[in-house]
Formats: sequence, structure tokens, C-alpha cells
Amino acid sequence: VILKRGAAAVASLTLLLAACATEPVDPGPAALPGSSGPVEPVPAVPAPEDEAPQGFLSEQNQRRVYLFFPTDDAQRLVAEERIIFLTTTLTSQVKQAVSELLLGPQTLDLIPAFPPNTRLRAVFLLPDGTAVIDLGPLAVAIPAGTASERAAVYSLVNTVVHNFQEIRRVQILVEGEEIPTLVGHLDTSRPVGPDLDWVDWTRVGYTEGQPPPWSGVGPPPPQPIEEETIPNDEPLEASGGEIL
Amino acid sequence: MGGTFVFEPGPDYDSARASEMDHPFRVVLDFAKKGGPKIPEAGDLTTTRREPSEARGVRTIILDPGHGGNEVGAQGPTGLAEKDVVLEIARRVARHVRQDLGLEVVMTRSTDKVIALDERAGVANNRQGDLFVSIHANASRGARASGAETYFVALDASDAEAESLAADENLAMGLPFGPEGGNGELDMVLWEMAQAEHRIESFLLAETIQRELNELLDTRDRGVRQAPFRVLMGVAMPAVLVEVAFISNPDEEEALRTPDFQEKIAEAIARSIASYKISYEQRTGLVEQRDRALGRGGS
Repeated sequence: VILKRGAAAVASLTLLLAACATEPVDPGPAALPGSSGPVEPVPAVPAPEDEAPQGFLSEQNQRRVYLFFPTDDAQRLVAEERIIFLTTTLTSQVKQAVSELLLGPQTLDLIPAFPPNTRLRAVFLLPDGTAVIDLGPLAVAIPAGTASERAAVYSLVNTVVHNFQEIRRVQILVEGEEIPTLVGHLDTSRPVGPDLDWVDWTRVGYTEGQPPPWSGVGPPPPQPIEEETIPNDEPLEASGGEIL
Repeated sequence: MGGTFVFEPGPDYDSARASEMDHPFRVVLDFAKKGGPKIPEAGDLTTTRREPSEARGVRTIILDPGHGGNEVGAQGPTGLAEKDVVLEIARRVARHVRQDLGLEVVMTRSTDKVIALDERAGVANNRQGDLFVSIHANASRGARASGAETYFVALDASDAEAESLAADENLAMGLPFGPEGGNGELDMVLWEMAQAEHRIESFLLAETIQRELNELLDTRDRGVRQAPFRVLMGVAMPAVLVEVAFISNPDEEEALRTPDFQEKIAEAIARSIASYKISYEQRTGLVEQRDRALGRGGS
């Protein structure tokens, strides 16, 4: 029950903050599902500079992203959470997320989707919602099987499309070139859409049957209507006002 | 999109002919070399229109052993090459399909050589296959991965929407995918439609093969899955890709090396083809037609 309420609190906070469009909007790690109870209101008096990071490094300038890594039996993609900075361009946020993905997972039973030291050469976005991700030559140095190829393609595509609402598909390049396939199976000659069906969300505090977590930018996906109203909505609204 | 393309056969060529085909719509150019085989009659080609073989049932099976030549595919921990194992398995499937089921078999490769993915689809379509079965061995970075899985291509709604939306947007914005910038995107849509038309049959075939593999082999069931396989997309007939086992798993590599295991897999695939054929012919009423023609049934 606590978990569910936590999720609802995140959603409502996101809604509230998304309405005040211009300000960066992440509630930060304090409001993660699993942390108990409602979010504490932010104190009206700013903390002294030496105690909490201010400006660019402050929590208001961060957001959460979900990265997807394959399990070591290649059955599922598991979501792991990272915090990135809310830099001004979407392109630079995508770069941060993909760089984190290329660094590999933090959980023992997950494996990196791309070989260590695979380089991110460039990211650019097209107006039709395609993100072009240019990777270094090591991107094709994965085992030449469908399982590893599928894990690589969808860890990348899912990570980019799920976290950035504006992006719908990913065109993978290797060393600046379009490639028909990474290692002989899946078509990467054109933009690839996400495949979230085999994602395991449990690591980030969500159970099967619930909608997947929303990462905080843009309107949240539709939530199931719950009978119970969430307590402490008032303090949240008040704190929202003070953040601004 | 009006435009004129002129192809002139060089001095080595006897004749050339252009013809149109449906499902998907395409233009086929045939060039015949001097002294080489003649271009087949137009009638032969236009029959490649596949209402998935409504009139003829399941007769020609295309077997596609993955990789080949210097495209080794996956390799096992002790060096077993996917290209060799899958060719051996495909040969065994071919033998069963020909001898036990009495069906025609076309192999996209029967030797150890490189064949492009699109060329494999082209062979399948030109030879008027009724089913396309691509045979592969899987690999993963984690040595623990094991079991068989069977894939088909599903064009899901979001994909279709994305395609048409992208096409609209590109047209409106004059972006490089439009007619002026080359028609790679358009090619792709047509190419993809070839398989989309058969996706239900492809799924049923995949399900049959996966079930047979699970029953026959004591390997872990990884289920039927969908993914955009390049080799399947342009195939204008029900088409699946079977990952028979994980060559990257030490135990399964060892098994894949043995003729016994290869034979078991081949039998499972051949039996699936037989069982799919029966089910298909019952569903489409071909069995009754044949019975009626022979004066049986319906009494």
C-alpha cells in the first residue's frame, strides 16, 4: 500500500509541477516510490551554500531516467535508475542517459548491453521524433547472436524513447554510418521503435500490472483512477508554490 | 513521384524485360545473358502473387541456414561456428521434408558462402515458397542463457502509425526521406508490408515450431517472440526464424556439436512444418476441396 501511495504521490507532484512548465521539474530521489509517506515541503528559507548544492547542481536541476539492461540469461530487460542533470538541450540530456547506459549496470545479475568502452560519438534529433545515436566501432563487437543483438538494440532504443517523450524512434549509426544490422539479424537500417514488452520494472519499485513509472518530463501517462484520495495534497501544493 | 528510368542491357545480354507484381507492388527487371538461360514467361512470374497459396496449399519450403562464409555468426566457447551447425541442421530438415513429407525444398544456401539477407528473401520470393524457415543458433554475453526461441515479424500499431506519420511529416517538411531525397523509407515500407500481410500465419508457424522444439528437446522454453528481422521482412510468405539453442552456452554448444542433437532439432522442425501444413489446409478448406475432387467425404 505504501508503495502504491508513493507512486501516486510522484504522479501527482509531477502533474502539479508539469503545469508550471518553465521550471525544471524533478521531485528528486526524496520522492522515490518506496520512500515512506508524502514528500516533505521544501523549507522556505534556502539552506546555506555549504550545506546543500545550489543552482546547477541542486535537485531542481536533476531528473531521473530509467536505463534498461539485459539479464545475464538474456530473458528480460531490467530498468535501473540514474539521475542526470537537466541541461538546457534535450540532445545533451539524451547524451547523458546514453553515456550512463554505456557505462553498464550497477546490479550483479545484469550485464552490459554494449562492450565496455563503447563510445558515444554523437547524438542529434530530427524533427520527426527520431533520435540519431552514433556509436563507436565497439558497438558491433557483441556476440553475434540474436539474443545479444536484441538486448543491445532495445536497451538503447527503450532507454532513449521511454525517458524522452519527444523521441519516438532511434536511428543507430556506427562510426557515422547507417548499418543494416549490428551483427546480422535485426534491421537497423532505419529508425527502430521501442519494445517495452519484455521490460522488468520491479527493480525500480514497480510491480507487474501497474503502469510503468514515468520519468518526470512531459505529461504523465494516464493513471488508473483510485477511490482513495491521497492525503497531504495540500502541503505538496504549498511547497510547489515555494519552489517557484 | 513521376520519373523515368532507362536500363539498357550491355552487349553481353540477349534480352531484358520489365514486369510488375503485386503483394507487395514491385517492378521486376529480368536480364538474360547471351547463351544463358532464357527469361521465364511472364505468366510464371506473375503467379508469385501469394494469396498465401490458397489454391495450392503448402508445397515449397524455403530453408535458410543463417550466416555463411566469412560471416561466421555466433561462436561457442570452444569455437563451434553457428554457420556450420545451422547448415547441417538445415540439410537434415531438407531431407525429412523431401522424403517424409514429399514437399519441395529450396535452400538459400547449401554451401559455406556469404549470402546477403535481402538476397535470401529474394530467392524465397522468386522460388515461390509457401513457408520460409530461417535456422540460427543463439548467443548471449551471459553464458547462462539457454533454450530455443522462435521469432516472427509483427508490424505493431505504433510502428505502422510511426511510419505513416513520419512519411506525412517528411513530406510536409521536405525532409530527406521524401521523394527528392531518395526513397529508402518508401522502399522500407513496401518491403515491410510483404511480411506484414502474413504475420498471423507466421505467428502460427512460429508457435508450432516452438511447441515441437519444447516437446522434443529438454531445453528451456523461451517462447515465441517478435522482432524486426531483416531477413524475414521482405519475405512474401509466412516466415519465421528459429534460434535452436544457445551456442554460447557450454552445454548447448556441446549438444549442438552432436549429430544426435542436430537430428532431433531437424525432426522437430520438419514435424512442425507437417503439422502447420495440415492445420493450414484444414483452416482454409483445402482438405475438403481435395476430398470432393476425389469423390470422398461429404456423404
